[in-house]
Amino acid sequence: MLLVSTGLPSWSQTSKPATAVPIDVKALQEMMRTQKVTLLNVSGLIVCLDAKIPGSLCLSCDGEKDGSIFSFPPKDSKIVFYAGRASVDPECELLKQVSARGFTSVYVLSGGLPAWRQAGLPVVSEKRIPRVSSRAVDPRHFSAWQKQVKNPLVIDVRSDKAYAAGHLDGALNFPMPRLHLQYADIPLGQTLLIVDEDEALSFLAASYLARKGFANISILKGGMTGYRRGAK
Amino acid sequence: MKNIISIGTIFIATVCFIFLPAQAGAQARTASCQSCHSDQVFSSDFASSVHGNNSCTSCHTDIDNLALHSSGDKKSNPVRCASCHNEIATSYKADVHTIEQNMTCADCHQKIHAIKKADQPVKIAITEQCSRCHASEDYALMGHGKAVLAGNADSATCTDCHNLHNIKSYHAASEKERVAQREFYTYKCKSCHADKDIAKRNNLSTAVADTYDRTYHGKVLQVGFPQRVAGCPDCHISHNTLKASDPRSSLHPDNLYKSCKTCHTTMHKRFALFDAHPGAIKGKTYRALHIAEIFMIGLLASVFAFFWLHTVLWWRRAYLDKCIKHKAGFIENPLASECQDEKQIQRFTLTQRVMHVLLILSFFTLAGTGLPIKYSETAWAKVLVNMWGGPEMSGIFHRIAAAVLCLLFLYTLWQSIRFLFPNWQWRGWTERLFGPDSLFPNRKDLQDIKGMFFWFFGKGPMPKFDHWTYWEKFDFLAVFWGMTAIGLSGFMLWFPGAFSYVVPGWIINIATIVHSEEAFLAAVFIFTVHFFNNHIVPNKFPLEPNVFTGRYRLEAMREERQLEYERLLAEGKLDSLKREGPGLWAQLFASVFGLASLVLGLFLLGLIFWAVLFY
Repeated sequence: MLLVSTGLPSWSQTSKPATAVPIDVKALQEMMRTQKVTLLNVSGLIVCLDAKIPGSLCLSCDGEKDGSIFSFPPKDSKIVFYAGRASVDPECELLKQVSARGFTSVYVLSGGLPAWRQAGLPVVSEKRIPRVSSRAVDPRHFSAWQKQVKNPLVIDVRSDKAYAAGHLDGALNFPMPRLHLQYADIPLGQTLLIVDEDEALSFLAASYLARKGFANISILKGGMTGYRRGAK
Repeated sequence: MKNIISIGTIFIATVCFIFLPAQAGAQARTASCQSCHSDQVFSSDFASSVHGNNSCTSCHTDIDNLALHSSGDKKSNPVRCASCHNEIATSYKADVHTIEQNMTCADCHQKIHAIKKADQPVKIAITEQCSRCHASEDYALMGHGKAVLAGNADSATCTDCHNLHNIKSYHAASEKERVAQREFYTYKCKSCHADKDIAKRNNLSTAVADTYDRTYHGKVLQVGFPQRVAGCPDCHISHNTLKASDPRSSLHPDNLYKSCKTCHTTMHKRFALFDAHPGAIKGKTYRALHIAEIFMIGLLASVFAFFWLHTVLWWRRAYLDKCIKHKAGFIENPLASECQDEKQIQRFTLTQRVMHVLLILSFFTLAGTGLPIKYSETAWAKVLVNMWGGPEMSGIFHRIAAAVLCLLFLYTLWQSIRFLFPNWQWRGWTERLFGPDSLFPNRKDLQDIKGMFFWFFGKGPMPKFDHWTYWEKFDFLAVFWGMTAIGLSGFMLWFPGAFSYVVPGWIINIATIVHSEEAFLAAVFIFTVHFFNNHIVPNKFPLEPNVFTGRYRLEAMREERQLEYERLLAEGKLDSLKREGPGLWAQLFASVFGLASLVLGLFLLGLIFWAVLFY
C-alpha cells in the first residue's frame, strides 16, 4: 500500500468557507480596464517569479501570518486570486482569510495563468527558472523505478493538506510555496522523484532543485492524479 | 563577351562590398566578446553552429555598451528568438509548453550556442529530444516509436501527431478539451492512415480509415459531434499501437472489453465483438457484413429496377394518352373539379389523414437528420445538421421522430388487427384479408400488374381497380418490412449496450448497414416512385390532395377505381359516402402542405443524388 493517510490538520477545519466569485479572463480584462484591481498570485514565490500577470503580488495559499497584505487595499477593492496552474486550491487559507477580513469583492480567475496565456495576454518573468530535462516516470513503473535507482527519495510538493490526505509511501512533503525556504533540508546524493497533484508544478520544482545543485531528478507522470488512475 | 565579364565583375564587387564588411564586422564583434567569454563553446563551437554566421549581438541586441557590460553593470536580457524565428514564435504562443510550463526556446534547444543540425534522421532526433523529459516506454516499445528508431521515415514521431511548436493544451479533466483532443488526434491518425502512398510503402491498408468513417463513430465525428463517439485514441489507447494479437495491446480480446466499457458503461462482454473498422480485415465479421451488404443491394436493385421501370413506362403511356386526347380535342379543366358545391366521395377518415400528416412530418425529420449522418462526408451534411440546431439537437429530433413513427406503426398494426377481427370475430377473416378493402395483396393484384404492363405498351386497356391498387398496397406493406428492419436496427444503434445482452457486437455492424440502406431505399422510393404514382403522374400533377382533404371527385373515382365505383353502386353504398367538397381552408392546407412536402422531398432527393454521384 503506497498511499498513506494521516488525517487533516486541525487549523484547516476552523476557517470560514471562501465566498470568491469565479471570473473569466475576458471579464477580468474588462475589470482591469475600468477599475483598480489587486491581483494575487497564490502559488508561492518560485511559481510566481517564474511567470505572473503583470502587476501581481506573489503570495501563497498558506496565508499571511502577520496579515500585512490586508493593510493597504480598501475593503471594497477588487481582489482577484489566481494560480500558476489552472485552479486555486479550494481550501486556500489565504482566500478564507480575505473573506474573513471583510473584503467583499473577491474573485478567482478561472483557468488561472494558463487561461491568461491562452488568451494571448502578456506575462512577466521576474526570476525565471531555466528548465532542466527531468525524465518522467510512468506511475505504472513507479515500483520498478524504486528498485532500479540508487537511493530513491520521493519529494511531494503538494500542500500539507493534500499530503496529509494521502501520499506515496516514504514521500517527504516540501510544499511548493515553501520549497525555496526548505530545499536545503532535502538530502543530497539521492535520486529524487518529484510528485505533485497533476504534473503542473513538478517540472518547475525539479528545475528549481536542479539549479540548487540536486542531480538525478525525475518527475511522476500525471502526478498523484495519474498515479491514482493507474492504480485502478 | 567583354560586357558580360565586366557586369559579372561589378556584381561580385558589389556583393563583396555589401556583405564582406558585414561578415567581417560580425566576426570582429564576436572576437571582442570572446576576449571574456573564452570557453570552448564560444570560441569554437559557436562558429560551427547553425547560428555561426551571426555575431553575439545579433541575438544579444541589448548589449550596446561593451564597457558597461564588461564591468558587470549591464547584464544581457533573455534573447528574443522571435526577432528572427517569428513564425515559429507566433505558433509557439499557443503551445502547451509555454501555456502550462512557461518554457522558452532554450529549454528544449539547450546548448543553444553549439546547436547543430542533427546528424541522424530527423524523426529519431525528435524522438530522442522529446524523450529527454517525456516517459516514452509505450511509444518506443509499442508501435510507431519502434519503427521510427528502426529508421522508418513514414512512421510517426512525436511531432507528427502532437505538432512541433503548436502542441495543443488539452486537459483530461475538461469534457470540452477531451472532445477537442479526440477530434484532433483522430484527424492526425487519418492524415497518415488514409494516405495510399504511405499505406502502400508500409504494407498497410487505408481500409482502417475508410471503414471507420463508415461506422456510427466515424460519421458522427465527421458531422461535428465528437462528444459522444469514439475517436482513434479512445480505443488505441495512448501510445500503445500494438497489433490486437499482442496481449499488451488495448485491442487484445482480453483488454477490448475494458476499452469499450469506458464509454458503453452497460454492456455484455460480447459487445466487444463489434467491429470498429467493419470489413477492414477479412474474417467472420467480414463474411457476415458481406452477406448483409449483398442482401441489401439485391433488395434495393430489385425494388428500384421494377418500380423505376414501372414509373417510366407509366409516364410514357400517360403522356401519349394525353397527347392523343389533346389531338382529339379533349380539354381538361382540373380547376373546375375543386368547386365546393360538387359532391365528393369520402376516401380517408380524419384519423387516417392526421396519421398521414404525422407520417410525413416524422419521415422528413428522420430523413433530414439521418441523411447528414449517412452522407457525413458531403459538403451539405454539416449545413443540414446545423439547420436542426447542431448535431446533438439533430440526434434528439431523429429519436423523437423515430418514436412518433413507431407509435404510428403500432397504431396501424392495431387497426389492421381490428380490421381482420372486428369485435374479435375470427369468422370470415380470410375473406376480409383478401377482400377489396384489404391492403393485403391478392390474385387480382398480379393480374393488374400484368394488365398495367400490357397497357404501357398499348396492348390492352388500363386495368380496373378497386379501393386499393397494387402499388398502394406495396407502399403500405413496405412500411411493415421497413419499420421492422429500420426500426429494429435503429433501436440497436440507439441502445447498443442493452442489445449486447441479446446479440453479439457484430450484429450492431449489420444493423448499421441495414439502417443505412433501408433508409436510402425508403427515402428514394418515396421521393421518386411514391411521388410519381400519386402526384406527378400527368393526370394528377402537381398534387393529389385527397390524402389531406379526405375526399375526391366522383368522376375521378369512376376513372381511377372503376371496380370500387361499380361495387359500391351495386351494393347501394355509394350515396352514403358522398360528402360536400372540402372547404377552402382544407384545400389551402392540402395545397400548401402537400406541395411543400413535394418540394422538400425532391430537394432531399437532389442531395442524395449529389452524394451518390460526387462522393
